[in-house]
Amino acid sequence: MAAQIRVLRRRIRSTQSIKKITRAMELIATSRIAKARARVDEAKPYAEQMTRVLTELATNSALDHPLLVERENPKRAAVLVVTSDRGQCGGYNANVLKEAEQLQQLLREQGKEPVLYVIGRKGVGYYRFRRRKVAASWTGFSEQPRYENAAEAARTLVEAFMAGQDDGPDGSAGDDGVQGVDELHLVYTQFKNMVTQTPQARRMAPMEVEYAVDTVGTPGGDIDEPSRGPSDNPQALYAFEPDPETLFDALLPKYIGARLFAALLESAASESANRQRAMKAATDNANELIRTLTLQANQARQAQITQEISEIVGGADALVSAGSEN
Amino acid sequence: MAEMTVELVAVERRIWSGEATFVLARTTEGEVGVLPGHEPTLAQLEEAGVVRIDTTDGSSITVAVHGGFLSITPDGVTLLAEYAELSDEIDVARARQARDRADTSDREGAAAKARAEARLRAAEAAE
Repeated sequence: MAAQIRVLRRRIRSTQSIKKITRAMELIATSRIAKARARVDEAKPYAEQMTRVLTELATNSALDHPLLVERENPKRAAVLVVTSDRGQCGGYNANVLKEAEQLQQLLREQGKEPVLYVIGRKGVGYYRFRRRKVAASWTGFSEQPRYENAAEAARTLVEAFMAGQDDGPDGSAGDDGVQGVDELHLVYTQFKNMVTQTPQARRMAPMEVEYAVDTVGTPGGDIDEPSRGPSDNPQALYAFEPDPETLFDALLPKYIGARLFAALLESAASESANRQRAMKAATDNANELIRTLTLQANQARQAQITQEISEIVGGADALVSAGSEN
Repeated sequence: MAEMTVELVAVERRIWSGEATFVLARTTEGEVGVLPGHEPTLAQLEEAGVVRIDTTDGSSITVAVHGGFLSITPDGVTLLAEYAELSDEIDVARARQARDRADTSDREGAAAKARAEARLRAAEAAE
């Protein structure tokens, strides 16, 4: 009896300390969501300006950059999966990984071989456990990504994509001896609002630049006279330093980097939102558990007291009856 | 005095925006000074360079810009940068350390050194 009370009290104590931890994690996640969302907003001006500049360029340059051209007979497709470094965030990683599996299934059906690139320790662990090959992985920044992180991953991906340009039709490495990829895909979690975050699969390359509306003119101006844009658009009388092609070469990888960075920021916000929800549920459960356990402990205590009283009364009765027989 | 709207945006945040009378930058082709009413231009800036913006109130802002682009439109001037640091935010001691530590034997190291030097130049120019 006394042992039961001790066990219950111990469970209450440990549940209380778990509750303190989950509560703290919930509060941290809450503050991180706000920060992550602020960073998403701060990164927007760059993306907007970048889109505008690319639109201007596209009207003045032939759109034959390798990053823009669809390859005939694509064989290998890179899939970059953005997961978290830590767990305790509900279905966040499971959802992203499920979306990634679906995308890979789709690619295989189209006759393309998926090549995995992973961001986040949880994704790395998932594929290692299943003994699946991962071409490259980056970890340690899922909650607070910096542009360097995105730029590094983007550089690796763009290099792989460029190396895939001369690959043979059977998927063999081309003249450069490096087996590259023909497409780049990205799987991340879109932050819609505090309660909805949905995993998304996007194609990054060959890319479709989101042109600013109403300014798309006819591509392919005369490159010897870069300051002449399409004559029907007075806005497009631009001078270029250096020529538009070189500028395009320099801008497009940065555009991919910026888009990847935006995806990382949204994923970070989604991760924190998921974690906040999961930790809120855990705290509520701990409260509920503490309530039931306290009830049980009190019942056990009362039962023990009742038993002790009945033992004393029983003992006294026994003594009284023993005395009366003498 | 004629003025123009200048926006300086880095990937992670908008660094500065406001009215200015003059912008000095160095593109891959050479130095360019921008006054209001400049011909519309798109240019790639030096990998690691210094940009000076003279604001309308007479003060001037010096910024270290890495991996930047310059876009001049009739509406104003936009500077796009991978990283940008205002001169008063630059930690001179750290930049100096980075410059001395950088290993120039490979491309990464040389770029890091160029970045550190640009930071130092920006900090010096502001003093």
